[in-house]
Amino acid sequence: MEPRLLAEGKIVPLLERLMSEAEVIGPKRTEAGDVVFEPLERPEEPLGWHEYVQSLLPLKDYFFPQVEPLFNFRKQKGVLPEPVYFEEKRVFFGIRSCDVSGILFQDRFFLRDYEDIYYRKRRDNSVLVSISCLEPGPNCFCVCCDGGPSLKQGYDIQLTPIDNEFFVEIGSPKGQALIEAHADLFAEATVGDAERKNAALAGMDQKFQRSTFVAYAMRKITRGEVPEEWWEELSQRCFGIAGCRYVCPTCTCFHVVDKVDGDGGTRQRHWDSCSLIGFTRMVSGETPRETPGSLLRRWGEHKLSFFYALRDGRHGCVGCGRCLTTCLGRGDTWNIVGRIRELSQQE
Amino acid sequence: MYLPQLAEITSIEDETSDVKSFGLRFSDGGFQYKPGQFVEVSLFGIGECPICICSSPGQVKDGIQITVRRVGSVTHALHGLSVGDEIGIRGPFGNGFPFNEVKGRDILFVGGGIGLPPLRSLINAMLGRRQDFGRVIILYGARTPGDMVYKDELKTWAARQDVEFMMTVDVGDKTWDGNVGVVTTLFPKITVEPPKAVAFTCGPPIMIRFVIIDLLKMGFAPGDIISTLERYMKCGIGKCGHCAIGYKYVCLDGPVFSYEQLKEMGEE
Repeated sequence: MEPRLLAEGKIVPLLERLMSEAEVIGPKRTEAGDVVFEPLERPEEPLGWHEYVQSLLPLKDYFFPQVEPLFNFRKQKGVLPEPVYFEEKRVFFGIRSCDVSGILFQDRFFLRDYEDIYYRKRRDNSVLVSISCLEPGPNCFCVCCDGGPSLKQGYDIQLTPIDNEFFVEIGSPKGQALIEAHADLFAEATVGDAERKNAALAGMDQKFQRSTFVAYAMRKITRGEVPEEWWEELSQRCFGIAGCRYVCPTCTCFHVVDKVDGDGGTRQRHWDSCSLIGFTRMVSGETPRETPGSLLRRWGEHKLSFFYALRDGRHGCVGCGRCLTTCLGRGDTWNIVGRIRELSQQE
Repeated sequence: MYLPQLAEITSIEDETSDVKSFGLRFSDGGFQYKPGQFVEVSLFGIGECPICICSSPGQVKDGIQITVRRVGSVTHALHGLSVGDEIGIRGPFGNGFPFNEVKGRDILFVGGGIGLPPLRSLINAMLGRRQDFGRVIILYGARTPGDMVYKDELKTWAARQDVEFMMTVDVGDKTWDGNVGVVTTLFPKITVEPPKAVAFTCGPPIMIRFVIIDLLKMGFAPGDIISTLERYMKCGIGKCGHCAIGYKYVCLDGPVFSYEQLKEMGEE
């Protein structure tokens, strides 16, 4: 799939066409100043690539919604529950590399073993058009986590800004189909254009204000060399509010409840979090993970243990830095990794 | 996979004051399962909870039996249902007990209270292929005589010449003239040769802890002590995250683990 060029001026006509075919989700700024990905109402609406780095929340709500109906039921004998599937077509425009990396992580999780049909349908009906970052945000460290700032694969289409154009890379049959359907808006790219793209990204890894070394923390955690007391001490910084988990693009835990309406209702799943004290509480009253330290350790192990990396295909941090932005107590992944390195230097 | 299939309650038996056994028949013929696997029992409008299957494969035509203590919202509602009522079932889930792997060996079962149902599926499966196994020893303990489940079935096990069966209660009553003491007090009354024998145990966590200590003293290898874990879980298929211990999911990788695995997982 040969790369293409797209002039900046062709973005609006492209979005206009895409909006007639599907719901297009793009970056917007709220009145409060936050960047959010929301359905576009006008093709001129999305922020320009240089006007934002990262959205407040990751895109997981579009693939694994905070509240998602699973099926409707009736409390009547012989009436089978009816599944509720979301099957709208969506194009995600202008998402960032770390967003794509988070979605790829969730793909591996939700689509393995018992495939999650709800996730599958949302994922199959979506096209991911990402834009490489040329400037990192203050809390970004994707470059240390193989989460960005530009991707080698995983996107359907990747745009990299070069002068007044975008270098367009096609990563999947879905991306190919989109480009072919609107071929008149795209131009052929030359070897020189590919060199301009590489030049635009050159030196990007030097621009990050944050860098870390994740593999070291992974090794210490996997070997069980981070003592229980260390987690308990760090957990004094944790407010137990699950903010980090809610903004994390790779967190997947959920709770299931029945919402009753008359003699029927809906079974739905809600995001849940291993940082909440009742997460493992059984009906007998026994709670296997009861102390704040054991809850924080669970998060550290899930994100950074090699065992999970084996299972999930990569470690559980894409370096988006959202937990760092959110956590008031500095008990986020960035700080866990950094503090484990300090711990080893004290030895 | 989150959609339950429908099952009709075909029988209800009172086991103790707060434990009932339910026979279930699937309208669509049901499923194949292994002893030690579990199902998600679903009551629409209330919720789901994981319950082990206590019947052995083939024991209930087109269905299964489950034994349930009344303790949470789903089990309270289930206890209020009658024969002919319908519930939802998802499953079977989990790995199940080793069966072919332990053929030819002596089998020691140590059950406590409501921990007998998962073992009972395996016990009856093994008794159905009695010639494939060496000695079968069943030790069962309960808090009081009234807390024993499957009272009729216990008698048939006790009557069999090819089963060594003993039971005990923590606290006796007027009707009880048998052993008094926790289940581990039965150990000195049996002889087992650990390299030849494998032990299956299930019961309250505190009981399992002491049983394992004694089994190790008796010479059982950690890999030959097999138990089944209970955890809060929502999905049964490794997605909801609640039952994770270390990097294992109790619902996918368990619920049956050897003591050797439990030690690795930090669950001693």
